[in-house]
Amino acid sequence: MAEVIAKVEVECPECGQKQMESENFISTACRGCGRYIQAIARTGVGQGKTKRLVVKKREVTCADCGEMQMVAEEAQSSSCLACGRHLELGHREIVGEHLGNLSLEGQLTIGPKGNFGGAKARAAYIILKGRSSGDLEAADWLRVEGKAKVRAGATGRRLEIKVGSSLECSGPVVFQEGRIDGELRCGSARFVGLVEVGPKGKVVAETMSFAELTAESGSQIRAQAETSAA
Amino acid sequence: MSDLESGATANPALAGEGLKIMGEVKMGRDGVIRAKLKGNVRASGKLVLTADAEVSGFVEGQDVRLEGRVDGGIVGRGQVWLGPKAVLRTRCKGKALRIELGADFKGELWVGS
Repeated sequence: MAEVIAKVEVECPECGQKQMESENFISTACRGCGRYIQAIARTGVGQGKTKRLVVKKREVTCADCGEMQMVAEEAQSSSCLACGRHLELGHREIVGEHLGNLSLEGQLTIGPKGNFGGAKARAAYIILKGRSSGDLEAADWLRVEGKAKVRAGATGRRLEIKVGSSLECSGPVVFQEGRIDGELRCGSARFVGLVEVGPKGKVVAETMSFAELTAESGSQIRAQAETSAA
Repeated sequence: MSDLESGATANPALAGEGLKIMGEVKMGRDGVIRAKLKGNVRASGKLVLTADAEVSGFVEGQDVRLEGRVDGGIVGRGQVWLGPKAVLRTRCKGKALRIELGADFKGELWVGS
């Protein structure tokens, strides 16, 4: 929580009007006569160590322009300093049917019985346990933790499919990197960098491309594949 | 993949540098191939194909490490490892697989039993 700064009483040397100001104020205007008052003119106030409001911040990257900025940790929304886009910073969980597009800088969870029915959902982190009719875009990672189905495509930086989980995707799957410990079924899977398939992992794709691949003993892959430059 | 990673095999059969072989090569033990081959290679043990090796047919072995070029595909009964300058076409089949950054592969990928 943010620290609350104490207030002090300030008396106008001109008209005697008393008003409350922040303890570390530097200057103000009298609400009675409008005279400009400097903190240094008051005895014992504003001459000590200035207290700063301590607000914990976190890093947010705008989905539209990619500008990185710092926002208060507790903030639920903000505006991009570069492009002015509204940034929804909170988390969202879909437990039933959700219609309409979503774009948030926090985490989106689509529950086991949840269905994202919009055209596109974008979030920094996506936990997918249910279904999606629209495209999913994870700025950071998309983690599959159940029997998930996506009728469109899925993109992002990193794809993780946990042991016992599966992702069936009708559209293209495009990620920077991936760790497959469950099952991935799709028409096209493209990993710009490394894809790792764990001992219980399975990939069935019509086409697959990657820069680097590790398939551990016990894993299964069936695909027409090719390597691509990272 | 420690043996394959180092490219080491114990008492390997050798098909040497600068050699050109037409026809099928069968090896009863671990082998290292540095030659250019027009045909297939079958080995019962581990097989290492160095950067000089070029095989127009397919290669079959227990564990296979490729640093050169194979056009007809690799079928490994165990592990298959493609080095950073390896070129492989047609097929890659094995129980475990490592394709390093820089390797050039295009074809059918089949991992597992």
